[in-house]
Amino acid sequence: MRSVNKMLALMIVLSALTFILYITEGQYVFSLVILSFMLVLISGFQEFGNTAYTFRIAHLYVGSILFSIAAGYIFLTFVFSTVNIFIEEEIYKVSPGDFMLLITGVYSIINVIYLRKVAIKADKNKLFNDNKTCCH
Amino acid sequence: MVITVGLIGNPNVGKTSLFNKLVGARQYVANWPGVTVTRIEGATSFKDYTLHIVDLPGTYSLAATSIDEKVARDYLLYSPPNVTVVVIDSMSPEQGIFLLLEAFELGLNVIAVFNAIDEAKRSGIKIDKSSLEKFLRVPVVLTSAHTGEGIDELKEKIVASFKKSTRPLMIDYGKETEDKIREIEEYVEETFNKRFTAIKIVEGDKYARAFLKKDCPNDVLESIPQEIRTSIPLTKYEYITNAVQLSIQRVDETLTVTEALDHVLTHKYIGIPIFLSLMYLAFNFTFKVSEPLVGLLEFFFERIADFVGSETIISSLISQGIINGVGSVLAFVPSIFTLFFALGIMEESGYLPRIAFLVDKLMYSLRLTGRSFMTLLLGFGCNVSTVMAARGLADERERVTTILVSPFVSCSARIPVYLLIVSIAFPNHKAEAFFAIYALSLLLTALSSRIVNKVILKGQSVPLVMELPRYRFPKLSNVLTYVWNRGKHFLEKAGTIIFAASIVIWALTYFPGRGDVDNSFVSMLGKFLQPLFAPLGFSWQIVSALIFGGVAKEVIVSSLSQFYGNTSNIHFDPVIGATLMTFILGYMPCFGTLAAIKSETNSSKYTLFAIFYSLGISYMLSMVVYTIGRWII
Amino acid sequence: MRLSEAPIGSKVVVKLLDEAEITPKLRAIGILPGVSIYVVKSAPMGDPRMYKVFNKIISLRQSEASLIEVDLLQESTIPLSYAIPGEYIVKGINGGFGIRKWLEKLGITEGSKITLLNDRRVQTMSGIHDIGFGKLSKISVVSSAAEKVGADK
Repeated sequence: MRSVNKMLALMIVLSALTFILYITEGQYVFSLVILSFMLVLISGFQEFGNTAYTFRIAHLYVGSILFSIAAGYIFLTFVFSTVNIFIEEEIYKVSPGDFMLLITGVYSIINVIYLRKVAIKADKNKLFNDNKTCCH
Repeated sequence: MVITVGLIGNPNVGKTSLFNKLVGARQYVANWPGVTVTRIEGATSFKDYTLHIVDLPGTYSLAATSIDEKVARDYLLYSPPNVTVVVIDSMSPEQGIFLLLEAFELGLNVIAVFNAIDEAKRSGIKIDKSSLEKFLRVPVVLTSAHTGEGIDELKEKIVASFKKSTRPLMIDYGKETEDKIREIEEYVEETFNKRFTAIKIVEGDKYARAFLKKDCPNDVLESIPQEIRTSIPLTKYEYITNAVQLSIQRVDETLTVTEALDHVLTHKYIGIPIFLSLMYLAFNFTFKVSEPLVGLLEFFFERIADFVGSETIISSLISQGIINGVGSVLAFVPSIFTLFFALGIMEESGYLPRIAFLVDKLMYSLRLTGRSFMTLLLGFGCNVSTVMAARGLADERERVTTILVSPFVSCSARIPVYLLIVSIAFPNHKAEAFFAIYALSLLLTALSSRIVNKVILKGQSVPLVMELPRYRFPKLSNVLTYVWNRGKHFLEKAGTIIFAASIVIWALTYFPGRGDVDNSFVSMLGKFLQPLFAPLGFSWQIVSALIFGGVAKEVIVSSLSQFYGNTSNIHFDPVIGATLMTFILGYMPCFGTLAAIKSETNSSKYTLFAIFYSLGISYMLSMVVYTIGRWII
Repeated sequence: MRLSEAPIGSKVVVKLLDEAEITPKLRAIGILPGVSIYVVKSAPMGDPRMYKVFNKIISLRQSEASLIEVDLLQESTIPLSYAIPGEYIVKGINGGFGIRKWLEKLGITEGSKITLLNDRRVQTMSGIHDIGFGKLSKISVVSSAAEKVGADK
């Protein structure tokens, strides 16, 4: 099982880059969305106590799902806009911020798939409990 | 040979997934007669039999406290199916078994299904089927709607039950309670299940009293002490706790996936930002992202209309009336389907109740619950979707209030109109004007909610008492079925009315001037009604355009340009601009919304209320704006 | 006390229900005298709250929960600010890094035994300390007596 902390950190870096890019593009509202999703990941490091490990995974899982959704949203915006060719309107232009988001999204999806696989295996061994002795 | 099967169970137990697994695509949606509760039926073949399955609304008990529960109870009482399948959630069985025990008392032929067995196994829960069968005295099937496990066995047991029914368990409530039950049984009408009715009456069920003989003395009902009332559900739960303890082996309480996810999603600080962001995305996805598809459809229909031309009456009817009419309805399709897709995912995943949980406190000031928040929010895209989505609200009072309040939510069709007015009347204050109108929309919605609540519901507030189900990864097939069922409903209802209305409007514009708008019935109507709108400062062109706006708000723009000849010919000052915007905000729900309101409330009374109430409030408010405006400027 | 007053994380048993329009609904989902309920959490604005009844999570508004009269169960986890003087085992600390470190210095960490004295001061392995109401409410404890019973099983 990969290190949860490392995965969280990488996600935060990717999402921070996305956030900054959106700010420079002037997309303030969307950058707020990215920021709130980022907060989900960052607050993962604020977990302490018995349940810290499980909750940290939860922050990573939820944060990854949220970024997958955001990336999917941009992706579909682009896909649907290709229809515009027929009506002589422009296709959606993918901005640098969008591109960074798509990258973050891909990594998020990988996280989600990985965590679900581990969880299914782990339920059999009751991994989702308090102790940290197993698997990091 | 046809076997009728009734499917009952608590909400969120996977009853509908199980139903989908049993009948596949062979299902159709209707209404329970006389009410707007969705009735889903389907069929499947097994051996030589056809199983005709009815999916009843989810309920916690057969003591009817809501329309949903009443529908389920009445069906079982008056037209009992050959076999009743009670679907119970293996992970939280107690309340489900309670419903099962109530079904026993109705004398039904019952099978108990413990669903989500795959989840239970993964959590380390072990279920002893034969022990359960011993305690419950009915056939027990362990199923998973997710993997398909147990489905065939269920069909077998249904057929076996049909051929030979089992006598289920009879609960003994203890001497005192049993005596009271027997006492009341004496007064129950002959044709009904006496014991069930007597038990319900002892519990305090108001509807059950209708089954008493006329000569029943009042004090028999008044004098039932609280201990006896409570003893009925209490005895049942005592039995259930015992049965579950001995038949279901649970593991120690460790943190479940749902608990961990809820820790984040209903987090004190980040819960609400997450929710706001997701709403923003869902909203934009539905109304902006699908725009190209809408544009494509509109383009397509315009081309056809142009091709047909409008020189003759018939071709005008076809191109302007029918094609434009159908076109404007179908142009909705991508938005509506993407809307229900987003909504379906939120529901399937289990997130929707969390939204209700987060915003309930806010909704209380509207005398509604968190459940209707999502429904009302949809109105910012299209009011029709609010009315349709309100079906998901179990509480009838809440549903009706939400529906009647929806027209004041400023839908996206009004935006082109606002844009036009703002660019003419307040070209330098666009942002402020928009902000003002949306703030007004929110205020009016909140106010209306209180008014509707007072007038129609006598000031009672709607209770919350809501279950938060486990999270599950949304299953695409379920979401698609959901989207199809809802979307089809929308097309059938709103579609037919908008289509009919378009033809009527076309006729009013075409005659008698043969296409010359200035000489049409509409402009005559506009000129005729103009004096009524003098206190608001509207010209006859504006009034006529507003009439068109009844069909769909965005038509106001094209109508105005038609009446004035050109958009640049339109002039009005800021006061009229503000008055007009205020008026358009809520003067009348568009035809699609009205059609939806009529079909969803099943009542002309409510529909007329919606019309006159909207008109009244908008008129008065606009008059206030105009008068104050003239006074200031 | 009323269910609406029970602290988050506590486990209570229902004593009785006031008669109101929703009482039949409450009874149907299992809220009956003798049944235990676990208070899971509250929404960001304090209302509504999540409760665990048998194995279902039900959310109730404070106005609805106030219809239910309950008693705290002995084995329930409660905030130390709520507790009567006695011996307790610390089950959790609701705070960030700073508070945890501060309490740790005083001998209060998850799993440690402490005693709540009559004057609301806390006795730990490292002595007697005056902590203050705010911090007391962040420490979740369980009565020692209850823990022992659990351990014996």
